[in-house]
Amino acid sequence: MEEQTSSSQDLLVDETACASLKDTTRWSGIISIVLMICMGFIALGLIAFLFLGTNLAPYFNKYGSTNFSGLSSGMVSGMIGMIFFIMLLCVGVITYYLYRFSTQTRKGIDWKDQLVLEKGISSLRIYLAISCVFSIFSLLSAIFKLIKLL
Amino acid sequence: MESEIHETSGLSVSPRLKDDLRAAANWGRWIAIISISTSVISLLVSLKKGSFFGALIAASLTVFIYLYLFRFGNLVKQGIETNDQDALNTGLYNLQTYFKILVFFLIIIFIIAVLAIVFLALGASLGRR
Repeated sequence: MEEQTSSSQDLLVDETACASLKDTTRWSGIISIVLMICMGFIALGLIAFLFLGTNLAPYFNKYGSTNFSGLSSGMVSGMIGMIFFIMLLCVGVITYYLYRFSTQTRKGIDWKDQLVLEKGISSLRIYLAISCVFSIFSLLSAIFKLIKLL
Repeated sequence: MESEIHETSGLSVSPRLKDDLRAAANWGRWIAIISISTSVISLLVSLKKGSFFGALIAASLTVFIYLYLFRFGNLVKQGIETNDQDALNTGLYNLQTYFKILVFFLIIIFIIAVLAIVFLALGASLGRR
C-alpha cells in the first residue's frame, strides 16, 4: 500500500507531457532542418571563398566596413574562410543535438522506451547548454557595442 | 488516484531524466535571462544611434519568445523539486510553445529573405536595361 502511495507521488511522463513533448519534437525537427539548409548555404559560402578568396580582398577594401589594407589577399581570404568554417561548426553542433533531441524523444514516446527518451532529453540539455554559450557571446558583443558608443 | 487524473503513458521521470530535465530547465532559464538582457542592451545601443523603433519591435519580440523558455525553466524546475505533475506538464507545454513561435518567426524570416532576393534580382535586371 505504501509502495503504491509513493509511486503515485512520483513524476510521470503522462499523456499530457507526451503530447507536449511530441509537439515540441515536431517543431524542433523543422528548426533543425532549416538549420541544415543554413549549413548548406554556409558550406557554399565557404567553398566560394576557397575558390574566389584571393580576388576578394580588393573588394572588401573598397566596400567593406573593415579595413584589410594591411593584409595580403591570401590572409583576408583565409580569415573569411575561417569565419565561415567556425560558423559551420557552430551551426553543425547545435543542429546535431537539436535533431537528436527531436528524433530520439519522438522515438522514446512512440516506442515507450525510457532509455531512448532519456537520450533525447539529454540532447535537449546539451543543445540548450551550447545555445547558452552562444547567447553569452551575443551579450558580450552587445556590451562592447554599448561601451564603444559611450 | 493520481493515475485517474494523469493518464499514464508507461514512461516515468527516472532519476536520470530528472537530472537532465533539471539541467535543461536551468540552461533554458539562463538563455532567457541572457537573451532578454542582450535585447535590452541592443535597444540602448539603437537609442544612441537613433533607430529606436525597429529595435523596440525586435526587443519586444525577443522578450515575448524567451518568456516561454523562462517559464519552461521555472515550471519544470518547480515541478521536479516539488513533485508537481501539473507544473512539469505546463513547463513542457511552454517549451512546445517556444519552439512553435521560433518556427513561426523562421517562416517569416524565410519569406522576407526570399522576397528580398526576388526584389534584388528584379532590381538588378531592371538596372541593366
